[in-house]
Amino acid sequence: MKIGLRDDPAFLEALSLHHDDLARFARSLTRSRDDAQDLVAETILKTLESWNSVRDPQAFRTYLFRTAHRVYMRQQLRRRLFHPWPKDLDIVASDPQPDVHTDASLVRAMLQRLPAQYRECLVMIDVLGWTPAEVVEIHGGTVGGLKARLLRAREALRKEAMRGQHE
Amino acid sequence: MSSEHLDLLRSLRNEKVDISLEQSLLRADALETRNSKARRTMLALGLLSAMTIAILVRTYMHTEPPSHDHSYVPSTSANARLADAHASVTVAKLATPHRTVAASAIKRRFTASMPSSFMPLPVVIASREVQQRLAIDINAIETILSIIGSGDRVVSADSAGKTETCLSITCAGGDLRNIVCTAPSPSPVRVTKADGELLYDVERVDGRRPSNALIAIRVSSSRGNILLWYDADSILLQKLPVDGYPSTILPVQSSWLQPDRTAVVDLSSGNSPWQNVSIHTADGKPIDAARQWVSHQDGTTELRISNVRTATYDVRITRKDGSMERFIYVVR
Repeated sequence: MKIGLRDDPAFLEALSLHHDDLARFARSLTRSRDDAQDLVAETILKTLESWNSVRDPQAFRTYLFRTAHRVYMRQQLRRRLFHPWPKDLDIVASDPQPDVHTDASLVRAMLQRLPAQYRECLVMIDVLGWTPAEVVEIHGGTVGGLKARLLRAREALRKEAMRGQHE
Repeated sequence: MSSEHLDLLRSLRNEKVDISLEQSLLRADALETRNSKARRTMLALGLLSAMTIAILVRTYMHTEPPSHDHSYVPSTSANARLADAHASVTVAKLATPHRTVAASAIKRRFTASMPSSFMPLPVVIASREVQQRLAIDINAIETILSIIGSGDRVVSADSAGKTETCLSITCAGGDLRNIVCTAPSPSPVRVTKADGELLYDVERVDGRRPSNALIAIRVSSSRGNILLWYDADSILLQKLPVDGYPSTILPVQSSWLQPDRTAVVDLSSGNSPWQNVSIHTADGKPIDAARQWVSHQDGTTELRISNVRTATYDVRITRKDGSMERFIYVVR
């Protein structure tokens, strides 16, 4: 019998520890809140399927984000093949920090113009504060390679920002 | 690390996450519901497709037509019409398609009332002795079965001096595929599965056609029981035990296959009119094949069996006086 989402308190507890990071990860990578919610929801469902094999808290975080990475890549592919991006960007929510939201929306728009692998390593290291070694656990490869990619990603983001200023 | 980049991304770091755990769980619940609905729909569609395919395969693969045994209740009107041309005529009318349901009910009744006095087809079970006398080489048969293709021909010939009997397998285009030789022995003219389904026919190199009097020898192979059909000539009968071959087979006077796969067989009418004809596979399973028969004044009866396939049939005839006869019909 399939286990429901709310039937396993241990899963909910483990998820609650990393949910905000997962949501921030999803929010930073996707263009809209709706897409981010889809990414988080699908990641939760996929992770629950393998919950029994990842009960270790440290392994859970790695598994959760590895799953999120895969789901994201699949969504990107699906989107590219079947549903091209809409022209309108995310609507900025009415929030007590409108300036932060506006900045965040602009940065998200810039991130969208970077290759997916740049986007992910920037978000994981510069936004979520992961170490390169932790990111390598998810994406594979070497720490050296990741650092080089991170440098290129930062440079690409800087160029995007400069271009935005000139425009 | 450039502080410029950190500044850029700080807005993302400082942004309040606007997706709560509860919202995510609700969304995941909705997604799961949607996924399970999609899975159920796909499963239902898959089952429906499988059932449709199974029905289509069942309908079209079996070449026997759907049921039409109306000979059980002979049509008097048809008799009356044909009586002008022939004295003593009995016709079984072909069923119209919409009467298939009724016909299947007849079939059940027919099966239940079928007299048990029809023994299974008198197949000779190949004992070790029979196998030795006929020099049946199972390995050679299995070799042929493993290499033969659907359009291939198997031709039998005795070597010079009759030291061995060889079977050559040629492709549809005429190229030689293989030759299998065995000790000199009578060759079966046909090899079928136990239910009569054709595996391959064997032609004589001199073009001689086998008669309709065939004797089936059942042998075991790695593919299960198979039947080797031999021409019932005197050479073969001498090699078999006295009681090893059937003696109640009705002689077929002539037979031919029409282009529409209707088999037409002329037989001796015998002393009593026919009441019923049933068609069976070689292993005794009844087949719902459309058939009709007409008795002629010259003492023969013409039997037509529609839509036959390449196989060997056991045709059983029940007469009005209660006697029963059968014949084996080979469709090539």
